[in-house]
Amino acid sequence: MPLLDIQDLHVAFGGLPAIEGLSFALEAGETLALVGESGSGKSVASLAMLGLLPASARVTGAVRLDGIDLLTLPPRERQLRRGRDIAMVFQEPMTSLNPVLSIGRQLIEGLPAADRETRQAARARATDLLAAVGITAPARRLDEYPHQLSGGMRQRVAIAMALAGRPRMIIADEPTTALDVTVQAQIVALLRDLQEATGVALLLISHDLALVRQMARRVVVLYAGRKLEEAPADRLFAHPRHPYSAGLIAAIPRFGAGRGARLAEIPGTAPGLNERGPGCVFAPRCPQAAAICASPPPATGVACHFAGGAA
Amino acid sequence: MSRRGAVPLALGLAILLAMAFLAVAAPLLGGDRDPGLILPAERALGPSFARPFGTDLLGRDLFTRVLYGARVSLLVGLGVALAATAAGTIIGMIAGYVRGLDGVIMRLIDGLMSIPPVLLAVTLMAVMRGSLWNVIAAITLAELPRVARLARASVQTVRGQIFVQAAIVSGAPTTTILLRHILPNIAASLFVQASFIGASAIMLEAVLSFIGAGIPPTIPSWGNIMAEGRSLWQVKPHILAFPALFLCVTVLGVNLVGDALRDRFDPRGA
Amino acid sequence: MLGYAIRRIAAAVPVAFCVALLVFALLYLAPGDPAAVMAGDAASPADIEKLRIALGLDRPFLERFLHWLAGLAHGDLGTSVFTGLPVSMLIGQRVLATAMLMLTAMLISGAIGIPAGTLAACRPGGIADRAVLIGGVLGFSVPVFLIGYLLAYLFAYRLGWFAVQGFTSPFVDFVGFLRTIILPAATLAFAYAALIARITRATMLEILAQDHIRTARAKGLDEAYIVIVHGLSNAATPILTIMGMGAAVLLGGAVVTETVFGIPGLGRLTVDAVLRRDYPVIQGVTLFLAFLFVAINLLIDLLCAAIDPRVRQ
Repeated sequence: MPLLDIQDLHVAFGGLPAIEGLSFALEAGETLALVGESGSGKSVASLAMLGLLPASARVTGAVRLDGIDLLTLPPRERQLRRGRDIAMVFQEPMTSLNPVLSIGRQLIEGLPAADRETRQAARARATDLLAAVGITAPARRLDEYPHQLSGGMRQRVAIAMALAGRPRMIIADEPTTALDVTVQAQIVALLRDLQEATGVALLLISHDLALVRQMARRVVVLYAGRKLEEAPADRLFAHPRHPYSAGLIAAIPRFGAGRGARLAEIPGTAPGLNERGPGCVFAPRCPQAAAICASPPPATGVACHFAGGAA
Repeated sequence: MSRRGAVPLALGLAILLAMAFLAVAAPLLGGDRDPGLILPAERALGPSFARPFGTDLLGRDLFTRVLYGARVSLLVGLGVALAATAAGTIIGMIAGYVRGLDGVIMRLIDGLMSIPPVLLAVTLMAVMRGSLWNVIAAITLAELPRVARLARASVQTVRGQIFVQAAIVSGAPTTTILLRHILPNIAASLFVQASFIGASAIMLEAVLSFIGAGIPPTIPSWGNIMAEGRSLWQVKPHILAFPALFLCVTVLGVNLVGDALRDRFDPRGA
Repeated sequence: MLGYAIRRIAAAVPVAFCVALLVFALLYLAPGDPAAVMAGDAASPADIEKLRIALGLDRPFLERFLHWLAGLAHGDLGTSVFTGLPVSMLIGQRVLATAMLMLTAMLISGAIGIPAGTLAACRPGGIADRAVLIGGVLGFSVPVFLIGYLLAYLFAYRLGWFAVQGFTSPFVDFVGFLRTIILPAATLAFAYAALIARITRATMLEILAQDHIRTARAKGLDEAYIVIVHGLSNAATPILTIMGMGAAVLLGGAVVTETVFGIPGLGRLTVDAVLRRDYPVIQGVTLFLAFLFVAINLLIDLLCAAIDPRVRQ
């Protein structure tokens, strides 16, 4: 049984679908990447898994963790699983930490009860966590505040906070996007090392294919709220089967670690929430689009009428 | 405008129009009664059909006096709103635009703001003879710092914007920049502020008159009427109640209009 | 923190000086002759002149101001013309009642305004939200007299639960103190609580939408804990700052409340002094209350710095 099993997840805001029929599974200790442009619904999916969407969102389907559907759990039980079973690292380290509480306090409040039986034990554990994410002089940092740290350091603290609950999986939502290039590499290395050391599963959410290639074993490609393709990373990068995946990969800069206009090379923009018909959502921008694309693409496998032949 | 804001705005405007009408038509609605007419035989009567609000301790008709009181309140509210906004805007614009004067002006404004408005107005009234114009002047001075601060802050925000910088670079005279480029851009928030100052001024006039430091007792104002009812509030509460209610409704009307204006023109204002 | 405290206190000194200058100058510049007003309408020009010299009103502005300032430095606020007592002594006799009135009003307003505003922000459109919006408008529209007399009429005069008039020191008779202080404090708290609820709602709405609140939720923390610890700790600075500015509402309201409830406090002292044209008392009390206002705001700034590490920088 996979650790996390998502079946036919739908999320809608005010009747407009943000995610339609998303299914994928994550094995224990594995790294899976959820790839897509901004607006593709990848962050919405992660928030839906944690139950952190606003009350106005309509969420259906199943998010099974060890076979238990989180969506049907009472809110209180679900709250207790956040941080303990699934933890999350957010994109923006400058704003994702509370500015008026000390680093130590923010770390300690996320520790399981067993780790904070005494004040000393809690501080010791928090110090260990900071050391584990490569922060120098960790004991001293406990009494500092987020504004005293650099962006990279804050992201390390955010990762330490995610580890605090001893989770079995971590969702990392664009964990390096807001950082400098050199710092990005450090955070990537850190995430990989931590995963090796702790065996935690990682759901990496990113639009950065260079990062995905370095980290993920499998990749799910998301576009306009729908899954277009799922494949092992090696195969996806060598032989993308969906035209959108192919476009994304073709747009990766061939050399250098530069970021930038990767996705701009696919002409046009992704459809808004109210512009998604029953046919292939990528058809308006697809170089291979034909009349058949106005009808729903295959529900299983690659979501493209031509995928079989094009592979 | 959203529907949510439309109802309070309509209610506020209706209240203000009604009050303005009552104030203007006071001599007609109050019958042929003089608000100062003393009828010793009819002292401290409760409300009745002939005298809807009853009479005060001297036998004066309270309905007539309350209507006349609306004149004072509206005049003070309007007068102070205009005077404080005009003076405060000029001071704030100078402080916000002329860097050399900013420090001195703002220290004085800070000092003035440290004296609570009621206290400042009371203190000023102690040295001035009680008259309508002096009351307006005293309240204006008490309200002025708020406008000056807002105007200064708004000017500083606007003057950093490209179009103002462009006008400065192109050598436009300072007065042109202030009046043509800056004033129109800060007018909305000042207008909103002016309405709240009007409400505050109406309240302040009533406070001053209530404690005996405002309008001369010979002029019927809501504060004066309440001051007269003070000694008998337990047995003759109507003397206090009617002017207090009118005051309450009027201030509510101004505040409703102010809130609606703020939601419309200045949604970021607290 | 110590560095910030020193800088902040140093910054209050020029403001305090400006306040002193303004209080003095206002009474000096105001159109009206204190001596003539004090002497009354029946006084002859010679009497007025004599009074003017006795009060030192014939001296030049700067000399009078420096003289007054020198007195201030020694705690000498002058002498009451009417009672012949030192102004500082009159203030000393009255300060307890006003301080207790303001403190109780602050406690009541905070205890109502902060939870109400927080609840309103947690459930926009809910009952608390509506109550805060309506209370916000009413709080600024209902005059202090009306609330004061209404409360006094119902709870003191009709029901007899509280004293109608007067003030009892809490150090003499605590129950008596409560009987005298609760109604005036509630009267005074009305507008102030509305102000606090309004700013708490607005600030909390903003803060609860911030990224770090989402982080806290992702940690699996209790929602009540998140709102109180993560939300209010961030909201504290704006709320406290507005409470400090709003202390002007309390000080001004105290003038009316003390009149309505017959409390022998500083507000009543001011009113009596104004009615008697007792200039040294007016000057002294106004200055004292303005300094009190500056001190309250100074204290609040220091409190904010203690709560929010960013302020200390």
